[in-house]
Amino acid sequence: MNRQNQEEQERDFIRMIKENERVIYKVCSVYVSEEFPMEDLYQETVLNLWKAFPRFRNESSYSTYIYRVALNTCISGIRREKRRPKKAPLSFSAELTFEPDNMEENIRELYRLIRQLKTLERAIILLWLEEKPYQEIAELTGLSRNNVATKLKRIREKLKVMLNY
Amino acid sequence: MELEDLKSMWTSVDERLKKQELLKESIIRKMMREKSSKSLDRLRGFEALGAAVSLFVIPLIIYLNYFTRFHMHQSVIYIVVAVCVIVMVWQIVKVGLLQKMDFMKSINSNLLQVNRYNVWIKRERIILLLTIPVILCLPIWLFVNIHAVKALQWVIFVCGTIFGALAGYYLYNFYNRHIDSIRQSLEDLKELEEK
Repeated sequence: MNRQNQEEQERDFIRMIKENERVIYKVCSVYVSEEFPMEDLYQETVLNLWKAFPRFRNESSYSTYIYRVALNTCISGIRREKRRPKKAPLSFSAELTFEPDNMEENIRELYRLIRQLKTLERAIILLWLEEKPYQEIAELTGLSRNNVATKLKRIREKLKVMLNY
Repeated sequence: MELEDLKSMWTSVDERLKKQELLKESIIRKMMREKSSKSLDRLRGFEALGAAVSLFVIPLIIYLNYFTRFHMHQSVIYIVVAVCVIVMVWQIVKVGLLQKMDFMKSINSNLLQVNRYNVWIKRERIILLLTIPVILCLPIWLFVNIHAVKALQWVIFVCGTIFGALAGYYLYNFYNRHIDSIRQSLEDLKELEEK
């Protein structure tokens, strides 16, 4: 690839990220944990998006592609982390201050509730909150449409119990 | 809080995020610096390894010649030791130049260093290309003049030449890839700083 094409690709990528940065943030925010701070998840997601970008062929929308890569990054990152005994320190500390410490109490509560769910459940509820149709949730999570509906029903019941507790 | 409240709350999160700039350019910069640092670390590691190998060859040659039955002509030992010393010093000088590069310093000074390193590598390539005919012709001349050369020695020589060519091709790409990666990241950073 020549320099001009590469520059063009970088510009397209940055523009796409800028347009969809909220999607990345929202996906990462439901997977944040002590082992996985926001900046680590966010950086890893952006890096993976960049790595996958040359293979993106406009077959799906930018947002679907971002959801897919971001969810895969967060879920696989958590699974990888569970297998690893200790986390290696990051080579640099990002300046991001995304953690919603200044958000209202109920938004914090919302994140707390979602983070109590299982890894895949978090992805499903996130997409439901994003008002994605069942078919798209199924495509993004690799489940069948019926399975999504069943799981979503259970998750909502679980959340209802958590809310009343 | 009710279940339906979750959705409205989620919408409010979205509204809040709309007002914020989440992806700061500093993050992209840091990511690019990280990319450059990896290439720089690889180059540093490779040059240091070259120096270590050269250092290791000197005692190995002495050991082989004086403590085993593998004897070499005295002049060959001198040539090998001299080449190893020169290579070692050269590798250390290159490591020294790479050590001067620090991505926390000004981009221009780093660009200057990487360009200097690139020039050095190009000169090194020219010298190597000039010495290749000598390296190849010397054993051929020896083999032709020593009539007792076995077929196996020719096979080893041909295999060694092929291996050398492949290693040279790999090194050519290795240096190009990492130097280009560092330069491009630095140029991107410069572009970002100018904006």
